[in-house]
This record gives sequence, C-alpha cells and structure tokens, in this order.
Amino acid sequence: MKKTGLLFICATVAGLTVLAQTTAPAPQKGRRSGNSIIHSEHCDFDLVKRVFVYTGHVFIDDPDMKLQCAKITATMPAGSGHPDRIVAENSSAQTNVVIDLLDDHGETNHVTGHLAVYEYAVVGGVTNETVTVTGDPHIAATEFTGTADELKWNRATGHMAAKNPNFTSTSRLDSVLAPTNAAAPK
Amino acid sequence: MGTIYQTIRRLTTGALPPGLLALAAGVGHAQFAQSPGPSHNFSMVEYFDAPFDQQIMTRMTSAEARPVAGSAGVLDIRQFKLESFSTNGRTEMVITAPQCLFSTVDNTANSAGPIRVESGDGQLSLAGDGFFWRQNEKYLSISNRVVTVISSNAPTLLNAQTQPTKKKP
Repeated sequence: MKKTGLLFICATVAGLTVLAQTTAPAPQKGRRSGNSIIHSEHCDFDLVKRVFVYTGHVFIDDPDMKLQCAKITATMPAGSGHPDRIVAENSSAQTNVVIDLLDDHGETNHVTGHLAVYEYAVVGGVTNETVTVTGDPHIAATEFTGTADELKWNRATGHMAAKNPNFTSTSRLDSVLAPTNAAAPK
Repeated sequence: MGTIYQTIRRLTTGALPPGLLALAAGVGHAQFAQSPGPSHNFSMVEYFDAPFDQQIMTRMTSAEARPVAGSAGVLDIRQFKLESFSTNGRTEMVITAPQCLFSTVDNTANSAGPIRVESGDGQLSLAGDGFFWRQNEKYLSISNRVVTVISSNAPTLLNAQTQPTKKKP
C-alpha cells in the first residue's frame, strides 16, 4: 500500500496530464460545530432574487476554515436562511481567493485560487456541502504542496478531490496518499 | 409585485399628520404640509399580485413617524421594522433599524445608523451601519461594517414569527 502511494505521487510530480479525478488526503473528517461569520465593508441584498453581494475586504470566519476574497455572492432558496450557493471571487486588487482549512489535527491547509464556489443542498435527508476552487488553484498542506485544475472539498466527509493534480510531498508521504488513492497506478 | 401601500392601518388613536393621511389615501407623491405632530404605531402593508393577492408581501411598521420640516414627503421614522413574507405567509426577512428617513416620493429609506436583518427561520442574521432601502425593488444596501452570522444549528431565533400571516380583511 505504501509503495502504491509513492508510485502515485511520483507520477503526478512527473507531470501526469491525463484528465483524471483522484482523491487527496482529507483536511478533516466531518464538520466542527459553530456559526459561520462573514465580515465585509459593504453588502447589497436583493430581497426579490434573494441574493446577497458582499464587497470590500470580505472575510469568512468558519469553524472549519477562514476565507478572504474581494467579493462574495450568496443566494438563498425561498423559505430558508441558509445559503445554497456562495461564490467567492478575486479582483484586480486582490488577485486570489485565500482559504485556510483546518485539518483533524488543527493544522492549516492553505488553498488559493481565483474562484471558490460553496454549494449546499439537503437531498433525502442527506446534506451535500462542497467547496470547489478553480482558477490556478494551489494547496499547501502539512504533508504536500501542489496544484490542480480543480480542488473540491467535501465538507460532509472532509475529503478533498483534485482534478489533474500535481503534488509534491513535503513529509510523511506514505501515510498521506496510500489508503485513499484508488486511482494509483500499479 | 403588488401596489405599494395598498393598505395603511392605524394601530392607535390620534390623528395622522397630513403627510401620512396623504399616504394613507394612496397619494404617495403628495406634498407634505408642515405638520408638527408625529404618528405613533402605524403600519404600511403591500400585498402580492394575484393569485396570491390575499397574502401580505411586505409590512413596514414603526413606533413613530414624523414629517421632516422642509423636506417634502420625507418622514423621520423611529423603530423602523420591515417584514417580508412568502406567498404561503411565512416570514422570510425582518429588517429593523432604530431610526431612518423614509421618502414617500420615491419609496426609499436611509439612515447612517445601525441596521439589523434576520431571516425568518433564524438561520441568518446580519448587522451593519448605514443603509439605503428601495422599497419598489426590494433592494437593501448596507454601507459599513457588515457582519453576517449563518447559524449551524437548527432554527430557533424567529420561529415564533414564522407563523402564517393574516390575510386581507
């Protein structure tokens, strides 16, 4: 198993360009409890369309993550106070959306990209909650750093999926990827 | 969208100032007479269009409304509260502010002071300083220091207010 993980990371570092989706280590398992707080300088709210637009040094303080960006657009479905979609964007002045995810050990995984989209839905009693980062996303975790075409974090499971990953190990490689990497080459 | 201010109900005794009387009569663009007297505890209600025309869409209430001398059609509102409802009568949003100026000319409200917004299910609350409200478009802009709290818990805060609203009398 350890050898498989090592082979996989070598392949990605060497430039695995085939479009494939694989799983990276989970920043955490499950969610921490607590409220999410959005700080900003301004907010515009369209009550008819149920859209909030936050601008000016936007900062999200969440038990699982901290996010900074130039603009956030949040939409809420009718009859609910919970946003079903939040789009975090950069600007010419603030070139990246910056996210710091906390893992199970309380360590920070630093993610940047041009765009981050949070989506929330409850279907059949099951909560689906994801954060997708695109636009030259980078991740710097405790055990690895790298880039991908897309990083998708499942908040319900704590797993992060990377599309076209190009990761480099920084430490403890074997324990990072081996158990969860179903797409590892043999 | 329903017609704005189709119904204005006086909730207490005491004469309405001429400006408010004009509003009550559906003459929102009327010039205000220079009335010194405030109106206490009044509400302005807007209904949905058909087929939900028996349901309240928005309801604005205040503890006191006083015409502003020298500003035609402008009211100095105290304890401003605006509630919006869905077509099934559930409370969607509640906007409150200690004070604001409301223009009956273009149906806008503004204030440099604090404002608070809460969703009907209590999962979202928002506070900030300084706002501009356009009643016709149902559009709210908050100018400074906006803090929004999205609750991770089951809704509790405004459950008591989410009962279906009364229909037209």
